[in-house]
Amino acid sequence: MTSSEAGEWEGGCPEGGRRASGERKGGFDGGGAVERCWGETCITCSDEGVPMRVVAIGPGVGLALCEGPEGRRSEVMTGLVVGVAVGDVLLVHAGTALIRLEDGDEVRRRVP
Amino acid sequence: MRFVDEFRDAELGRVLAERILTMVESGRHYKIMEVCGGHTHSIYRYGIDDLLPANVELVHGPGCPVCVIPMGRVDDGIAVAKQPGVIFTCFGDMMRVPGGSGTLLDAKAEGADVRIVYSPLDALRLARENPDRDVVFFAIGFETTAPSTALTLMRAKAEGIRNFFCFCNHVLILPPIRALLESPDLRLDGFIGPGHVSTVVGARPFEFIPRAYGKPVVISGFEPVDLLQAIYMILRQLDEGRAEVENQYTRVVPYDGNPQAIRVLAEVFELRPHFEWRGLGFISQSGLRLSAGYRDFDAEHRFEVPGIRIADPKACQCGEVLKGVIRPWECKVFGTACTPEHPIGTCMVSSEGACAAYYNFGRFAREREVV
Repeated sequence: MTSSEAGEWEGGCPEGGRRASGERKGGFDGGGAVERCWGETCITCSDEGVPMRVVAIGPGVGLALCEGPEGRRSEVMTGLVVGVAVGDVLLVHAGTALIRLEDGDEVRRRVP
Repeated sequence: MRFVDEFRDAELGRVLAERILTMVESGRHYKIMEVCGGHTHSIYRYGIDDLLPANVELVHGPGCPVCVIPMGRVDDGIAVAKQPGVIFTCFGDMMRVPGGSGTLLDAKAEGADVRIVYSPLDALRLARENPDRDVVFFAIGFETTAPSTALTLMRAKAEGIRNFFCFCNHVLILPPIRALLESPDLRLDGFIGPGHVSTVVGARPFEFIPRAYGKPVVISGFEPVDLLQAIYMILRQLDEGRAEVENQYTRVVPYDGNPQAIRVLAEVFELRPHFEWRGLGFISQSGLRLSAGYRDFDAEHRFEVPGIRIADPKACQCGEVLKGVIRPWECKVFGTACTPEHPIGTCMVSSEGACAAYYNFGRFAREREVV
């Protein structure tokens, strides 16, 4: 199921959303230009957990290339998660993977 | 995406909303605090409070990392940013947080080299690319972002980078909760525990809340179904006369947290004797600074930092909002003198701040009610 299907909560930023997330055009611009909000998350202070999928290990030790909502890719530090492999879904905060999502005490408990 | 979409299922949300309705006693007013700013943002974004009975009130706690930074620390950051040869880096929201003499954005306009980064690793990369400049990272955040700063500093140390510095403002979530519980003007029935902080520290450290204060805690995820289920679980504890720590976010949070992350934090940081929180004042052992092994990376060690305490603006009631004593729209300057475009208080700056979250999402529903 995708978030655009009927019957789901509508996400997205309100009109004129001021939040400072956005695609980084041409990588690190240093000026912090706000382009637009992407996907379901708005990272304003980077203190937001984003689920990202590992697409490649490296380029250095303790790093992985990960893909987040809407295909946005970035380098993530993986030193806190043991045995990261391609395909894992990681919870990423401020460029660091805090945990592999399946590593919770149980996968899911839907209804009380 | 897996782990996200199923927790936005509207039908499941409706079922939970109905169960919540059956769980509340009419005539009793329930006050539940969500500690984490990410929860505040989700609650307003998805209209969670509109699905709750009128006598269940959500109180927005101190868990927004930007909102709790006092003005004096912003001024300290600006003073470092204005040092010759410094590239000062911070997360986006910190740029607009007002200090006593303007914002980092103002400092940038006046010629300081202030840049937004999305992670401390970006700042370290800048240090590598600019070996003749001092690159300072304005580190903010709770136990969720502190591991990222810690790993970056360990990387800098291993690589022998000498021009990377951290202006450390990391804080811990438990001391302010304890301070709130001791506050005489606050009455709470239970807590929605911070989901992502708990991935690091685990659920166990929250056990003092039911044990010493008799209040239920439910660690929750950030999707609408997560939050509704957590609220239901708190109400069920209250109904059954129980007070304990429960973990709604079991798909992510291990009860004992991430031991590797805790080890990394212990290596790189040490507790400050006290740290000032906006609106809450000084709280003992609530902030982190770099440990002796990382002193060479400490911006407060490398640069002259004024360290002057500045009182919050009188008109601003962020402190009362953070303590849940008033709701955002009850502040005298909410939506008039204080807006996301021109914030007076920090709660209006960050999207995780209660005031900004309410201004961006919740006020429309309230305006409809008023009309």
